[in-house]
Amino acid sequence: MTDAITAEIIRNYLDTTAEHLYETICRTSPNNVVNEAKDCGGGIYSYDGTTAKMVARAGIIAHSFALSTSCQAGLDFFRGDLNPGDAILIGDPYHGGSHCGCWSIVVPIFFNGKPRLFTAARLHVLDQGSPTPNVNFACRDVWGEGTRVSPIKLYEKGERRREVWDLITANNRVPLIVEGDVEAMIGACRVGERFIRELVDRHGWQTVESSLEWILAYSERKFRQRIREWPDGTYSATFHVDTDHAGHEDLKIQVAITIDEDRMTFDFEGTDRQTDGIINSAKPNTIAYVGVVLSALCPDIPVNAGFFAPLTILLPEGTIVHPTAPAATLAGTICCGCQIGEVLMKACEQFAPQRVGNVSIDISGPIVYGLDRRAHRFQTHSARNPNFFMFMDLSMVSMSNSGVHGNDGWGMWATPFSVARPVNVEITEIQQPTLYRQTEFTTDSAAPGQWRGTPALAMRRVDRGASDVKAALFVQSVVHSLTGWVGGYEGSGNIIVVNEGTQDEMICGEHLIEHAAYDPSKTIFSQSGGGGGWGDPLDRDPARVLEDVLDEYISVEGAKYDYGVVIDTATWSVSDEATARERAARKAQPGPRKRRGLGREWLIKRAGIQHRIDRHDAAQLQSNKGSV
Amino acid sequence: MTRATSERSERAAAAMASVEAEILRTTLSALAEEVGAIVANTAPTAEISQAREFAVAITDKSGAVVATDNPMQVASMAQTVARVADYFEFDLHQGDVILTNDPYAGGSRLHDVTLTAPLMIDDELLLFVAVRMRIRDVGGQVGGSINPEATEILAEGHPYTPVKIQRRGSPVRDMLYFFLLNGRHMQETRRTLDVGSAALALGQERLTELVGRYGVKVVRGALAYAQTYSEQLARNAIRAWKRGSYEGEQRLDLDPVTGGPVTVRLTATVADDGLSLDFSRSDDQRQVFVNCPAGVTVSCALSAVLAMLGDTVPANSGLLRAIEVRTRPGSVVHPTQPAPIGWGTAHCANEVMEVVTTTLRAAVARPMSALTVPRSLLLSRPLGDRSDQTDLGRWGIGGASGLAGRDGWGPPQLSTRAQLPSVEQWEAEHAMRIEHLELAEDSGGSGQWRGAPGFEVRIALAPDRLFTVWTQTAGNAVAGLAGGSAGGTGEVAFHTREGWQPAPISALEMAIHADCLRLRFAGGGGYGNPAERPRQAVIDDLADGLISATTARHVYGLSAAEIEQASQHTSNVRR
Amino acid sequence: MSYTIAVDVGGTFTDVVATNGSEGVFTGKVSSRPNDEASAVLNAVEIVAEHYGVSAAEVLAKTEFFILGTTVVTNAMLEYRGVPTGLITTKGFRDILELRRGYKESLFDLQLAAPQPIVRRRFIKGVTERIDDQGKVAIALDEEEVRKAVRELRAAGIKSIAVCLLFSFVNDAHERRVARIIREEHPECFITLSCDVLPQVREFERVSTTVVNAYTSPLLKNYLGRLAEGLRKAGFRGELVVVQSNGGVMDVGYSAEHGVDAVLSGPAGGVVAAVAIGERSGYRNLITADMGGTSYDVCLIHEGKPEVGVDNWISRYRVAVPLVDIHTIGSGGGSIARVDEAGALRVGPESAGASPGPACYGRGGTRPTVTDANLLLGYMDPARFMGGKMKLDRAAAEKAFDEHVAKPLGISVNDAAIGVFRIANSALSNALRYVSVKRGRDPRNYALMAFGGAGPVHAGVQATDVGIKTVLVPRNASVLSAYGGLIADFKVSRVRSFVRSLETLDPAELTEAFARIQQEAEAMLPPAETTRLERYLDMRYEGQVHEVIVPLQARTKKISEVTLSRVVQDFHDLHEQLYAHKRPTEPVQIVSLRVELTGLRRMEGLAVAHKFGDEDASGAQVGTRQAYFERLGGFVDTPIYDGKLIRPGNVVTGPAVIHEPGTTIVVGVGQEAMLDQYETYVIEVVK
Repeated sequence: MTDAITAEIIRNYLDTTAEHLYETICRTSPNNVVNEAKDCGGGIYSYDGTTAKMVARAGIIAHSFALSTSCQAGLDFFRGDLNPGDAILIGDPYHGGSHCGCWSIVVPIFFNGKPRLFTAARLHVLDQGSPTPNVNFACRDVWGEGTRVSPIKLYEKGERRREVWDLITANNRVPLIVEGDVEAMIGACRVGERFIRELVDRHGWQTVESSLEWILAYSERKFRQRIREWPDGTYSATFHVDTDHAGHEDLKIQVAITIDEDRMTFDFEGTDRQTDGIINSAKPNTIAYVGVVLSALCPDIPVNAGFFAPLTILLPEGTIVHPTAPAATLAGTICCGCQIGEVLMKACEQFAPQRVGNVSIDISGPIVYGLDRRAHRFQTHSARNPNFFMFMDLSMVSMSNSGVHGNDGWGMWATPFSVARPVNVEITEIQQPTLYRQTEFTTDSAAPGQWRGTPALAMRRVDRGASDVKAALFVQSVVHSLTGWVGGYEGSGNIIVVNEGTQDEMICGEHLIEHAAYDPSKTIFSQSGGGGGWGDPLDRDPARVLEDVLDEYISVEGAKYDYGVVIDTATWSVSDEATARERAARKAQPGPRKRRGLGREWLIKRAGIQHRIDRHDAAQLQSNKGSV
Repeated sequence: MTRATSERSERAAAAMASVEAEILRTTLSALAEEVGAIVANTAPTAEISQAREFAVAITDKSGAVVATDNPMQVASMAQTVARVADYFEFDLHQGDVILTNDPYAGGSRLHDVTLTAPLMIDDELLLFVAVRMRIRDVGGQVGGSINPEATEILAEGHPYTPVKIQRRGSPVRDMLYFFLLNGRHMQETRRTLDVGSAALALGQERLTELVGRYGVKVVRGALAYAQTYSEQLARNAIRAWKRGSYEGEQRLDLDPVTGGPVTVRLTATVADDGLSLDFSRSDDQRQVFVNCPAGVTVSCALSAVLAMLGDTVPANSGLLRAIEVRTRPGSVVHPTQPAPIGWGTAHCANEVMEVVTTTLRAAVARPMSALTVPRSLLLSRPLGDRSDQTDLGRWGIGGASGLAGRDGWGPPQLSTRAQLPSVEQWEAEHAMRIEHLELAEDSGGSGQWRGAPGFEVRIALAPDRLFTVWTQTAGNAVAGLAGGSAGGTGEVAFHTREGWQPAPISALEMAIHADCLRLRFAGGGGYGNPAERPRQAVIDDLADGLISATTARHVYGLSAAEIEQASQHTSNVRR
Repeated sequence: MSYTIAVDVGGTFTDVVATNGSEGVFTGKVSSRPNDEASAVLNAVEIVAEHYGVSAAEVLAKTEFFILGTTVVTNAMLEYRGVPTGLITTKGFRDILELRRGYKESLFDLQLAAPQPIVRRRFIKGVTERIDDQGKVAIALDEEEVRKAVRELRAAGIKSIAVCLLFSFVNDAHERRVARIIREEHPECFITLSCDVLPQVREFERVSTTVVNAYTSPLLKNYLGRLAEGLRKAGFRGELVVVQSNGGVMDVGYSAEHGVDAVLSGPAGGVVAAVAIGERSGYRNLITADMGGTSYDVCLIHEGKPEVGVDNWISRYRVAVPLVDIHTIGSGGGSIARVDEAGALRVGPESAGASPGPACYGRGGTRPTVTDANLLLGYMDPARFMGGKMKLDRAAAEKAFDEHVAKPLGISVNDAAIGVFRIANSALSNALRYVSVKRGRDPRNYALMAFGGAGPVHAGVQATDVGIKTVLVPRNASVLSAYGGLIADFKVSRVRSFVRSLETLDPAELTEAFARIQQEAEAMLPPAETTRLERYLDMRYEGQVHEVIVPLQARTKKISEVTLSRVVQDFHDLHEQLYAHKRPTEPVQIVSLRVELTGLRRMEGLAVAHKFGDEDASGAQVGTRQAYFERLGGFVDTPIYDGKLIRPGNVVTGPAVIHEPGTTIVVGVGQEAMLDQYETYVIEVVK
């Protein structure tokens, strides 16, 4: 066993390495899902000949977890057949992955003739060889999801396997982009390998190896201490998924977290069975969410394999949180992944109320594709048809952060799960045949709370110079929007409207838009709401409400409706006694308050989902009666 | 095929005793048949063992087919092996097995997978043995990998550019597993591939023996000789044809949604030294699954010519020297990525064969009547199991057209080499009873030599099944020839609460609440003026229930008495 | 005879360096006056005058250039003390600044608060207008809206307005029109146009940079005005110039309008000085390491040129103008060591800063710091700190270590100090590795130039750690920034977006584009006898969104096919160097063009080479002390030298400690320090 100081030195070094590995992917990938949205991750894993363990990580955390299980699948498959210079590609939900769209690269690093460390990278490819471009909402089994990339060597003993590369690209609509992505991952892993070799040269393998043990033990120790600080007990919560887009609605996810001294158990018993829809969350993805939630509760603890030692995670097989083959997992990473994150946080709310907030990414596949007819265009080599373009407006993805104790939601940073980034308007308009009319916050759309959520982002764009365009869109958190915390209101929810304001308007809300042709000259409108508020809006400091009114985050009506704050528009000041009266009256109202703000009400109308809301409210009422 | 090599092969042929060459040529064909038999007998699926959806070929080192058990796939096998030979030119070893199904490089349908193995003698490539087998699934949207709604190939399944699944005798684990994982019948497919590799091994063993007995040089000579032989026979036959350039076209009617009719056009030129078939003017490829892969197009064109040559010419790549076939990449008969091709081996393959026969009628002595009948896609699966597709279309049995000198009999010549399924075996395997399987009255086209009637099949359907259908061409008839009339049209209908309903034109896994399916393929066209049909023959047909009294009277002009006689005859038999 | 004077106004001290064109340079320090930089500057002039034995007025009268390194802008950002600022932008896009492309400093910390707004949302006005990526006007500018917006901002007391409209870098007509309207409606308002500050694609980067300029420039302008006037009054007739973040200097006229270019005014000077000193001692490839109380600044200098960075943030705001790429980590002498609840020894980022400062300062600091460790390890002399100006309290340091490190870890105080020393070193070494490896360069090919109070204590160990063979320690390192200002050239860095696919690019068009940017630059550059032009292209593979900056290797203004293909070649290689792979068959795109125009100033008589004395340094040895050397397995009796007594040519062999007034140099085992003729210690490191 090496000393704590050396171990700490090595831990810092490995973290830097992981960061650098991740940066390399982002900088070199030709795929805007990766280089703009940052939908990728990387890490360093140890291997004792049987088990792969996460040592250091960077990027989207879900990728880091699915990476360890993917590594494991790859190593198991190639046990006894690993060589220096190998690079293994893996991408299948039933081989350690999360869904067919996410591909992993694993590069073994040998010391004394044994593969003891791995650098690994993972990202979401732009096209996965599915029956329809990028996403196939109609898939009803895993084969319909795309190419199932079982563990396969792209490089063998340093030699490039041309036949494998050709096969992969033959099964892809954007062969050059997917090739670029894979090259980027391999490059990143090699960069990481350089670093690690230097480390081992300096300290010797023995020291590094024993430091690894210390590093894992360190996270475990630290995490156990944190668990001890939380009150023992069992904390349950349920949350619902809007639909599986295959005929099932309001699917239930249920968890019971038990804290017992320095151990934690997560039991998902009571969760609905898997369906042949698109929302099943593969096991590694569900576990990732447990990790994300805990990391958000303890941001200071380095996430690695040790972090998981104190945890027992019980996932009933055959449910939407642990589907069995051949169930489709197309959207599972974010839906029902999002709801898994929500239900876990709702449970945590009961023992760590001041730490909770939204960690989930809550919107999904905003993809359009078609032909770019502009004379001056730059994406001319991605697909076989030089005019083919495929564009995913990731701004819709990255909005979902919530209010937290002590802070309003702000900015457009993605929640810990996703780290996705919004698009850059100017770059996008150069790359894609589109013109944005709007990208900004909308008034009264922030979830009310003592600390409010982030306002919803409204986007409007038209496509110009495009033809034969089709849209494959789906949103979530429409019926069951992102929850509020400790009395805060729920988020306003999401919606996309195609051909906005015309007869042939298509609304993507309760139902998805499945590769439908649209009129490029008409507006595509999307509104993606932030996460819920924290604490009762009636307790929000009226001065802050006034500031928000002046900044037009909140309207004067909104101030009254959502916060019970009365603004005197003559002097633009809070009229105190009116406010006091209003708030007292509200609090005096008997029965439970419906925790929906002005913005949420607007969205329910716009999306035309009142019937779903009523149905669910009624059901809840029933079950509450039942439980009484 | 360059002149250089053909000269070389001629010299080689001359160099060796013609007897020995002839022995080897026939031995090679026999060997192909033998390997084929092994495949058929050991395959785990009815598609292979009964429907005989497979092909075996022995090719020279360039991929040119020397002998095959399946004359209808000569060109596409040749193209596939040539592609493999080129792709791995510098990376071939004894014990390698290469898998591919690439429809854009010789392949036919995605689920027709070709395994190719080189035979190396002293590290030098002598020849290839290849076996193509139908498997049940290569992924994609729908089990069975035929998708009438596909607008591109990935909606049908996965194309495989050439990959090694065996290297120097040991399996390439990751590649093999990758292939198996990407289909819905992992275990079954694994067994099918094993059968294939075993067959290849056997073929190589036999060939190695031949080499042992005759020596490399002689065997190599035989490879060339066999092709030259077929080439010469073909040239001789074609010399009898009328010189000239002929144009023709065949139209496949598609509904406007899928872009309206698509046309296959042919310019055929009969010259002193052979025949050229140019399909370049055919329409562009479509975003519908009727594109016919280039390999299949050439195969079909050859088959049609072979039919005209009367089956006397052994099918191998030698034919391609006498018969040059040209196609234009990007056309409906030579699709390029990402065009869908799922139904191309039926349509436009039929159109290709028919355009050849109709266009060349002017050139040949005995005009050739239709070789095919329109085909409908009819798949069905239980609600609960996406992978378990049953091909009800296999019960579609059309009629052969009449020819000068004889009535059409049995199914059309080039429809398929499939053995018809046995009712008993079928019912043993499927929960669907065959209620009716008989020739359909009046479905054979009238003429001096009438066309064969098509069968009408009625199948009792199990409940809770989903149907994948494409019946675009069901209603088309097979034209008659030389005054003969067209055969009866086909039909696909479901029996629902509202009675018999025509099947949808195109449907993907649609729930159809019906208790019975009626399936009739078109009958063959008639040949020559019906009036000149021997009376007795007409009476017999009437008595046999192949034609109705009405037809007998109005088409063949039978008298009331004769009709009465026929019915007597039947009643006598009944008695 | 004429003078050149350079001052660098820091937080605690104002450094001054002056020359009269012969007999080397004079260096000195006066203490700074918070919120009154001007008077400190004038004090500095006085000590210069003193040195040359003339009156301040005389010196100033004869001063040709007066160079200023300032922290006005930096502090305005750090303390959010800019002027009330408004923003006019394209209608529908008013939140770009708050959205900040989704950037958040800490992934898991849900509680992280929003950056303090330097423009309130209520002061962000969207106006109807739209220009598309081709520069075509998609929607005309609604001038009435602009007028209304300006009036509202004026009424609200806004003093500075930033204007950032979409695609103004392709077509600036609308921005310029808006500027005219502002001048009409609000004449005394300071105006910043994004098309002037950063005519480059990517709206967030541009708007943030523009707003920072608007927020800070009025302060700088005002300050420079006062200072210039003060100097004039005192008799100055020459030119006042300001050190820019790109390592050059620019006249007041430019500087007053471009606050954003002065965010690194001070540190950039240090790097420029390092380049000169390095070259003088014969090293053109350097990594500079400046270790102060709270931070450690590292910069890579390749072939005599500091690397330029464009990914910078200041006070959580994005600043995309090219800066000397200085990488900062939060570990310095004041970094606090602690043992966390899971038993890991952590050093920093929390710092004791200048007050209370390290425990050994005896200013009430009770927690152990890196400086305390250095004292306990015998590297510092309790009696000779800061040239004896300050006494160090060893007992306090021991107590702090015992309490906060030794006891919790169950080890001795010495081992605790050793641990902190090692962890600090590894953090510093990682920083060295980071700046080089991120550029795809091997740190082992660089010399390490260490300065700042604590830098040279650690440099030796880091060198061994990273594999660096030479360490340089300039003797008068303490006034390096001012010295840099003294010798810096005039320099304008311009960038302009120029999005093209190389396949279809006409070299003539590229030549044209570069020429235009060069003209812009020339217009800004004060007249200079000789100028140097450097051109760069931001390039990437199709589909990528991050560019690699590739130098254009062309002697002629005209760019030929050949030059072009050479650039592409260089791009592929650079990409491989950086990211371990390249894709030579892939199409390549250009996104932006960069021009760096330098007006050379001829500075003479700065460096006076001293004669070499003999090697024997024993004359400078003032005793011995127990100091820790890992290679020797612990504490050994170590010779101590007084830097003031060391003469050029003297050689000090490690283990040894040299005390200079401003810093302490630890010469490790197997190392050899020699003071060269330009008063720079050259330490050879043998592994």
